[in-house]
Amino acid sequence: MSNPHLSQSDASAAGEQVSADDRELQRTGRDLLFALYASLRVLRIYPLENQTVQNALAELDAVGAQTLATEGGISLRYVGDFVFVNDLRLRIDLGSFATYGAVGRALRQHGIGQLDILPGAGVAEWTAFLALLLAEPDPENPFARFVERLGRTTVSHLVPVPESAADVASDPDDAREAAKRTYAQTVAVAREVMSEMRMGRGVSVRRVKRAVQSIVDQVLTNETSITGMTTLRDYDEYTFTHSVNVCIFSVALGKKLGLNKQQLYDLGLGALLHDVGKVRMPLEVINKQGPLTPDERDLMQEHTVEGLLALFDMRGFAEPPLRPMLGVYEHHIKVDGGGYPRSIRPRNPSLFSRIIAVADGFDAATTKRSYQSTPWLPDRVLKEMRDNPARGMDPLVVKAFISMTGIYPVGSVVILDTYELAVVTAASPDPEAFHLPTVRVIYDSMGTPVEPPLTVDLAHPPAGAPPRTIIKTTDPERYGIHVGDYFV
Amino acid sequence: MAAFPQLNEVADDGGPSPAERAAVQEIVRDFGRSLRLHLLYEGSNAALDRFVESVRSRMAALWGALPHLTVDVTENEMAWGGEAVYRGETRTDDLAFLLYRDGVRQLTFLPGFEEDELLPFLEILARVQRLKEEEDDLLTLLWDRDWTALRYRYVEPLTEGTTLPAGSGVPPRPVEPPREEAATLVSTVSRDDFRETLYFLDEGDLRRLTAEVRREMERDLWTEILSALFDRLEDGLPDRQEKIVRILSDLLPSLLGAGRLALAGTILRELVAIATRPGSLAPPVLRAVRDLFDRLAHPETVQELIRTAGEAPDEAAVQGLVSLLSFLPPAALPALLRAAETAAEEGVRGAVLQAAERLAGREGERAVPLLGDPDVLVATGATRIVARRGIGAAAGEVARLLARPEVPLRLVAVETLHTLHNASAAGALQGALDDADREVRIAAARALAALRYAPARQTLQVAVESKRLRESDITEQIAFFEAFGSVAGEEGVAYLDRILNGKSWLGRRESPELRACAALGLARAPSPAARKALTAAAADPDPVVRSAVGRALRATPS
Repeated sequence: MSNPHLSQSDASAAGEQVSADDRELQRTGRDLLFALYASLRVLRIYPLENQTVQNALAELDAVGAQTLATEGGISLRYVGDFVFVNDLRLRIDLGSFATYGAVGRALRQHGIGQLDILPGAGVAEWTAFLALLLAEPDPENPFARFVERLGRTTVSHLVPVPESAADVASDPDDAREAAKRTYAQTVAVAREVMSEMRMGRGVSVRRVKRAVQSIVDQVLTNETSITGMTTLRDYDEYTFTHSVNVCIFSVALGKKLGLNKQQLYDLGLGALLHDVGKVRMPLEVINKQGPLTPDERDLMQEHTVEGLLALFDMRGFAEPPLRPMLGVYEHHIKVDGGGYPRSIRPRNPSLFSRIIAVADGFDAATTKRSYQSTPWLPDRVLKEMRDNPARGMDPLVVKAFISMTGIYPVGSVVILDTYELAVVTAASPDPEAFHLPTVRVIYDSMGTPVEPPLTVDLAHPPAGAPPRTIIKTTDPERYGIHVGDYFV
Repeated sequence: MAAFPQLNEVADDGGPSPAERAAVQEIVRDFGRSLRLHLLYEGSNAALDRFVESVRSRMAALWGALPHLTVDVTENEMAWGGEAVYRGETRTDDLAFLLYRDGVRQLTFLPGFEEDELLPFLEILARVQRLKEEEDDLLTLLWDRDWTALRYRYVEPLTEGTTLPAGSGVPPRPVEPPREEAATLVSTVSRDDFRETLYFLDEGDLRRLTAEVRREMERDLWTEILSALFDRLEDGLPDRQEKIVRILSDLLPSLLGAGRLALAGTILRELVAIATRPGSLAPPVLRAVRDLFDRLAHPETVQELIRTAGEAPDEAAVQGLVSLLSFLPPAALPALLRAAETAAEEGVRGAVLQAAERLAGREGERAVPLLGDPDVLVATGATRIVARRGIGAAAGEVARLLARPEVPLRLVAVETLHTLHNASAAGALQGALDDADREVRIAAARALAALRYAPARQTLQVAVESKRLRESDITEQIAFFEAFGSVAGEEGVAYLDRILNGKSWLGRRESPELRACAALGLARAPSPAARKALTAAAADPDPVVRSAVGRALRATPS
């Protein structure tokens, strides 16, 4: 996983204006976190005297000393999903998200929100500190217990700071409430945009912008909850909820690709408005039950062009939102140039368009809508997108998408090897446990509801409990399960 | 710490000391004052700079006493520790209301805010005051920046009246035991199915994705958007074509205004290519395209174009201008001629002239009617084209320009008549010898000299004998005498000899200056007689005459 060479190019690729000092700190901060993660990992597996452990600790010490030499002191702080080194937010991308997340979880389970590293911290102090991090946290008062244990050691240059009230990841219920609010407001904005446009009225770009910004904020700080909202399949509101879902999936994938906030906004805006051209399609075709005739299909295919033209009509943008416009126009163009609209001049769909295409394809296929009475199971959709070139998806983007959702995307209903029925609520943050998401067990093996549902991290089962694994996915309708109920 | 020396004093009750409160009050009020100044001076003024600097030092001093500053915002005031530290006076520049209106309810400033974020923060506050209803608000603008030393809490205005999603409300009921379904695998994947090599993004994938992101950021978005529009313009659906042409018509001025001349050129090139393909555009759309080009030919539009290119006249801008101008219709010729006369930058002027030459037609035929244009700049430009193209048939029209009141135009007309080099032109030049303007007269005399137009001899002799010339300056006198010498040739030698060498009982008949002019005139009529006349004056005691004669002799073959 370690790929220290990526950090600098990522920063420039993301197009942010950063100083040379910031770039250097991005690099050393990343190195430090990777070294911390590597040390934690080998300490978990091997005894202390193992050479691999010794090498990892020596590397950690060297990286720490190098950073201290330039910075004087190091303050490693976690705020939500963000990691700060001396107030510089480290860029999280596909090459780092798992490592940063793992270190954050290791600290947070002991109530540590910040680790101050002072000059003089050597291998011995790191060894003791990491050993304590790997110890079972006190469920009642993890930070106090950690400090107490630390006080018995000679560690004096590694100073844990508790999570402050502002930095503590919000209560799961609060996080869910925030996600619900964001989701609901974005659906409302999508509805308003489309309704106003259908009636030929002006659209408040400010509201659209604000809604997309909120989605980006949620994905950056509360990804699990906001992704869970995509399971709220409201058939009557399909056009709007679909737009919002595509926005959420696209932004989440963009985040994994290391896009900066402004780029995520552009991606999210294109995704939210990707079907805006449908407001210019006849309602009777949009709402038609059953398959479309060839003429109707041709008509519907015009929505991408109409979407592009509609965006030119939206007032309030300081300048035309070109990247989102391309996403709207190109999201049905296949990577081989097929699909629609047909291109006369040379065209390679943009990365944003290909991301939106994957998000669109995934959400559309997994949702019940007017001309799809039976939605596909999420895992089947992923497989189809990955394996069927006729779908025209970019294989690399699909792969990145799967690495984000896990092979059992959030909202999947699964049968465990205990024959319990469960709903996947979060992908495992550990890439090596991609098949072991967090689930809520909702029925026992006899088909009896589990009240309240039991949340289980399949990758890290509770102490003493037997490990569970997924043996298959299933159709929620078969059991009358309303998946969204488990996310609101 | 100098700004607030008592900041470290602690209040009796352990809360903020009066000094701290005063310091915070001062800082928050300063925000309000800075905002007013910002609005007043639109962000650039020494007074504002000084004020911001003072806020900066106050804040820097504050951090000695406070770890951070959190201010609560209500509709009418801003409060710190539950007590008001700011109250707005009027709605228009009330900082509290400005924040509150857009949803901000709390601001937390951290140490370091004053260094890099104070100014952007004030700029955003000022900017939001000027925005239109449908544009950004404070929250969207604050969001655009990654603040490191500012935190803000807000209420989400969008959520008002929004119903939050609720569950289905259907309580879970017992279902068939999942075990029964598990016996038959229908739709499922296994870990094997998603083999790790397929699932994991390996190093190569990560590199490719990084490269993809970089490419994405370097993408020429405008070109791609325009390609899309042109692809669809070719679709042949009249309604859509009309929309697209309207969009392009709207885009054109924006692109030009932004100095994106090459892109604007692309739009015009594509439009021409599509519009000239028979049947590709519906008649009303074709008319709209023509309208667009006609609008482009308006003098104001052309002037704007030139101005845009002239603002940053690099090679790309000039090339963009060349490209754009190549699409102008003949109707734009007057505007281009006018622009060519006023363009200050050489490259831009060259580009405009090149376009004007093209629009003037192969024979320059479109320029001739413009000789009579009442706009002096247009007439001047047209005259230059007549000269460059050598349109002899236009000599009469050019000659008429000598009656125009504008001196520069008359000068260009004289130069053009000289260039045209025909009898009609030369005849017209004689008239200019009496022009009210000295420069024109001199130019006409020199032109006639260069043409050696014999019929002008009499006119020139009258001119050199005239009282006016004798009272004019030496440059004009030389021009006329040289013209006379050139035109009269050998026949004029006797006359010039008389002026150079003639004597009266009082001495020389003419002034040394006039005699010097005659000597230079003789140099233009090379002949033995002329040389003889010059030699006779070679030892003249007057240095002015002697010098002129010497020059003339050197120019006259022996």
